[in-house]
Order: sequence, then structure tokens, then C-alpha cells
Amino acid sequence: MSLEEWELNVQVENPIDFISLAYHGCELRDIYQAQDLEDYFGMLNGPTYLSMVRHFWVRAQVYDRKASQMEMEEKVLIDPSMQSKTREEMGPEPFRCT
Amino acid sequence: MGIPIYILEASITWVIRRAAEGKFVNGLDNNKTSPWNDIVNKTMFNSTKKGKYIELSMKIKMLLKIQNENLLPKGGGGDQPSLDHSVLTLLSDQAESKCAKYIFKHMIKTLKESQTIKRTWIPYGRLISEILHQGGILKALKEVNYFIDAQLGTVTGKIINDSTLKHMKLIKKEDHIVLSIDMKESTVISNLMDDFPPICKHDPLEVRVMYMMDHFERTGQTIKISDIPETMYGGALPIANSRKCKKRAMT
Repeated sequence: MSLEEWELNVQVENPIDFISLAYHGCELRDIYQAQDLEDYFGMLNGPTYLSMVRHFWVRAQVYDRKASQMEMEEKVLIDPSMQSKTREEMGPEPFRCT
Repeated sequence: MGIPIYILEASITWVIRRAAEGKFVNGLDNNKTSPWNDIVNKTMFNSTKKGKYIELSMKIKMLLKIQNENLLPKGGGGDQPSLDHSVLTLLSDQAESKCAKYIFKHMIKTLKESQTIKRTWIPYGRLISEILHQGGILKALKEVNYFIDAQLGTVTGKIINDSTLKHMKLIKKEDHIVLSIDMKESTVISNLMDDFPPICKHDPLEVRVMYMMDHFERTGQTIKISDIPETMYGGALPIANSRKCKKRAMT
């Protein structure tokens, strides 16, 4: 039984008020500045579209090396003449390693 | 039929506006024999043995909280840090870590868990929303002028600030001071409506007509009837619940 959109709980990231934390004796800005993550934490202070995220999540598929290999094997099963061809010649998009 | 969206590690790097370089340690397991245990214990607990959460310093507790909520969301309690989480805390204090890769791997792992063991929990709600927004989905929805924030379930995250320190009992109640410059949720702006008139279709017709005429006299620009939203937009967005259940609800 597959997951339904309404069943999913979305965890929304928490924006961080570094000034307030520093005032109360918890200075973390230097750590995240060294990590170059200021823009990331700035981005967190924005809207999250729960319905859209759920809609995306139930339809998402992982396309990794294994999935890419299976796709190629499937193509060879359908058309054995594909056996000697490269991935680009077979047609699917080139696998971009992440 | 729909709009295809591809999320690569590079997409995350781009959205978080950070260089892709950094240190990445793969294959960490939360077991007793990991070579990382000694280093993690030394950094977090200042000891050769694994300590307890209560023994952590205020700074480490907050770093862990931020990681559990934002960098490698756990979805549950943060008082039992896994090795993955400990290592990122450790890296935060030393070499620059490859955050986009950690985030990407964690997202993939959670997606696979959703598909295999039916986990009902989605991490990175805000990050995925931003990817969808930057991918042009919001622009497409805005063009059809059909969706409003309530339909999209627009919320914002709860801010980690002095109140969090108080709730975590890291500062005393009497030491808690609310500053005038504290970050407010009301500063959040929806991407769906960046230029909206301060009227809606629920306003009386005379009010709408008067406003449109006044606007035209002042700016020379016409407001179309279709540009007026169904309901009034403004103020703070609702705040998302912090507690997330990973299992299906009993029916």
C-alpha cells in the first residue's frame, strides 16, 4: 500500500536568531561563518509550501547508479541490438554522478 | 502530466548559496567500533568515553539542536545523538564540511525509507520549497492566479532564539530577556504574492472600485479584477508544528 499525501508529516527547518542567542551567552555565529552557512540560515526564514512538498514527495524517485544500470538492462531486454551500445547511444539522459 | 523536477547535489549547493568544497566522511554507522568514536567523544564530551546528553555544554547542545532541526533533521528527540550528527557537530568546529552532500545523502536516505518502510516523515520542508520555487513552480502557479497560500499550506518554521534556550533550560527564567531586535516570523514573505493590493474579493464592491481608482490616480497603473486575491493576504504565516511522527497514524 503506497503512502498518501495526507499521511505525510513535513519537518520545517527552524530559522535561527543568532543575535538573540549571542545576547544570552550562546555565540554560534563564528562557527557557521567559518562553515560559510550564513546564506543557508538566511534562506530558512521563508515560506514552506506543505501541500507542494507532500505532492512532490509521493511522486519522487531516486535515480542513482543502480537505477541507471537497471534502465539500461531493461532497454537491452527489449531490444538485444542495444547490447553493444553506450548509454548515450541508447537514448536515456547521461547519468550525472552526484 | 506534470512538471519534472530534478534535485541533484548541485541544486542544493546552488540553493544554499555555498561552495561545493569541504570535507565529507561517508559510511558512518552508529556502532561501537567506529574509528570516529574517540574523536567525537573527545570533542563533544571532552572524554575518551561516550557521555550523556546532560553533560554537554550549552554551545554543543545548541549546535546539536540546530543540526537536528536544519542540517540533518532527525524528526525525533535530540537527546540521543547518532554518530552522523556528532560528526557534523565536530566538523562544524574544525574543517569546512561538505554540507550539501550531507543534506543530499540524508534526503535520499529518507526518501528511500518512505518508499520501503512507509515512513511518513519528510525532512527539509523549507529547502524543498525553495528548490521548487527557484525551479519556477511558484511562478507558474502565480501566472494561473489560482492558488492562494492557504491552499498550498504555507507555513514558516519556528524561530530558534532566547525562548528556545529557556525551554531547553539552558538559561534561567529570570535571565530571559526579549530584545526589540529579535527576529519575528512576520518578516517572512510568501513567494506567491510579492506585489498584492491591500484589498480582497470579500471587500464591498464600492471599496474595491474606490481603491482601484485611487491607485490609478496615484500611480497611473491599473489593477485588474483578476489581480485581486480571494482572501486578504498579510501578516505572519502560521508556524509549523515542531513534533513530527514518523509512523503512520492508526486507522
